[in-house]
Amino acid sequence: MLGQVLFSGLALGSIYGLVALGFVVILKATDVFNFAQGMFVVCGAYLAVTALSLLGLPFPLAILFIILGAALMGMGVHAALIRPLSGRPILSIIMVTIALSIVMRAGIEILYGPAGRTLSTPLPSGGFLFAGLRISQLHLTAAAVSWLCMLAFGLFFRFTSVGLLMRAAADSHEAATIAGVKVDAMNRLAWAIGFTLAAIGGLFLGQLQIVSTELETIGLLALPAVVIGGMQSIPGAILGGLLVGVIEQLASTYISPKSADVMIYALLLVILLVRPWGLLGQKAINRV
Amino acid sequence: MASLLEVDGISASYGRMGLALDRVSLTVEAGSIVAILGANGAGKTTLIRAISGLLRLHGGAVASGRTLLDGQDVTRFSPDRIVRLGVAQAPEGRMVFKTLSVEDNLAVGAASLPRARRGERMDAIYHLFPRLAERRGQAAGLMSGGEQQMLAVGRALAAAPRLMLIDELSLGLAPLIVKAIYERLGEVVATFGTAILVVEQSARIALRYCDRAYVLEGGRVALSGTAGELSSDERMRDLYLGAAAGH
Ligand SMILES: Nc1ncnc2c1ncn2[C@@H]1O[C@H](COP(=O)(O)OP(=O)(O)OP(=O)(O)O)[C@@H](O)[C@H]1O
Ligand SMILES: [Mg+2]
Repeated sequence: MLGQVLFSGLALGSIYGLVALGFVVILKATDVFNFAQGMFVVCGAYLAVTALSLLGLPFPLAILFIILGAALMGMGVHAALIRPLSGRPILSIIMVTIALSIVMRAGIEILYGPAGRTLSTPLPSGGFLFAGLRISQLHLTAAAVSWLCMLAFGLFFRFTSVGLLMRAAADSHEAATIAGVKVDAMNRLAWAIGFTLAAIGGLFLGQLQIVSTELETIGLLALPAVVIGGMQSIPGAILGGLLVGVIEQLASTYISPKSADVMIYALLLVILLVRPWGLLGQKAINRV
Repeated sequence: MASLLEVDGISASYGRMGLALDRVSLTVEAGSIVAILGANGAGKTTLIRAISGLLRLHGGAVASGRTLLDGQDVTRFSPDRIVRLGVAQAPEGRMVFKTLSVEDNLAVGAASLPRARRGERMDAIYHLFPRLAERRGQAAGLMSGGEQQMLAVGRALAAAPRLMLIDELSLGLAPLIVKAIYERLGEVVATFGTAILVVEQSARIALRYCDRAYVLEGGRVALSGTAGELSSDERMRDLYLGAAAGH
């Protein structure tokens, strides 16, 4: 029983980690605490519905459609809302992300109707027994793809020259501008990546559950994940995602489904009290 | 033939405040070291920002005048474009990437070069500043002030610039380190033919290491000339070199 719960907790947690990673990429690059990340997840799910059910695209093309669509939307949000507001008080920008999420929710419900939709993809949906556990292939695929995406991003960020320029721009916009980095382009890229990672999460969550704007709540679990893991930390976001997934599954199995949120936010509170910079975050490097 | 850098009557201001630069003109020839001197608030940093396209980032703008690079008007070019044309900068306050390693800081500087030239360029910088080579894996934010200044200079040099802008090279540094950095810069000028425009607080240092100097006062060029001319200029002696001046 416990093993079963841990399996689904870790699988879901991997998706949360992926969404949280997208959140941190945006936060690091542009200092924006993005409350619309949950709606980016929803958008991913509806992009999948559009590509697979409405347009009837073959699966590989549908994936391409989702990724390109999400990346373009991320760039669009940056160009239309974030860039024009750069330098404004942090609170104004947070309000804009909240407004964006509300408008996106309304827009989606106008376009697609308020009722949920089922998403079916050619991904394997059966299950098999392994070491006494019932392994759902969809959970397994979701976890594997999430880890692949996180790994790919980590390698890109750490070892490519564009990744280096992104890290430089995230460190200091002014210093990067002086060093000749196209900071705007780096920020746009960060929003594209942040949106895309959320959308991939949405593709899986939409399939594990039902596609509706209610998925936003699940997408917003990225926020406690990020705070628990450490605001600016990429490994922290992933660890936070996994923890949130496991706690959610443990609480809803052994206590009650409603208690999951209580437990998650209780942990968040404890972390904020005893280790405000998060499990893997760093106290700021301050010298000179 | 056109000079490497020609600043032609630049006026600049921040928002609605008065002119921070008032018709400033100066020339930097290839392979020379030119100093900008002046009291606090004279407009030295503003001049550096005007040349490198950074005024807008600080809420300022060029009101009139032009900057020419090899005869090309670059006055309203974006900062990254100016870097790519061969003008790199070690800014006031050093502004190294604190969370990045020394090596990554230099690599960002070298990123505007073709891939094949980057490694060789980084090696040349480590050769120039062995201290940076010893610390290559360390986070830049944890280095001492002098080391960060070397890194800021190194990061600018990594772009293989034709013109280096350095704002406040000697600020807060021990005289020996200042001497060491100027000697390195002398080597850079000799081996790569790079020109250097450096803001200096200390007139004495400037006149020792530079070919020419311009003195800014209230946003205007008050004095200019070769190091030799300025050393023997009376106003210069009174205002900037103090009683014990001369050699
Ligand atoms: N970002 C800014 N916004 C408004 N005014 C500014 C800004 N930066 C500089 N100024 C003003 O422009 C004038 C010139 O400043 P600048 O920084 O160029 O002087 P400086 O010669 O570099 O001085 P210091 O030796 O202290 O570095 C000053 O009056 C300063 O107050
Ligand atoms: Mg200054």
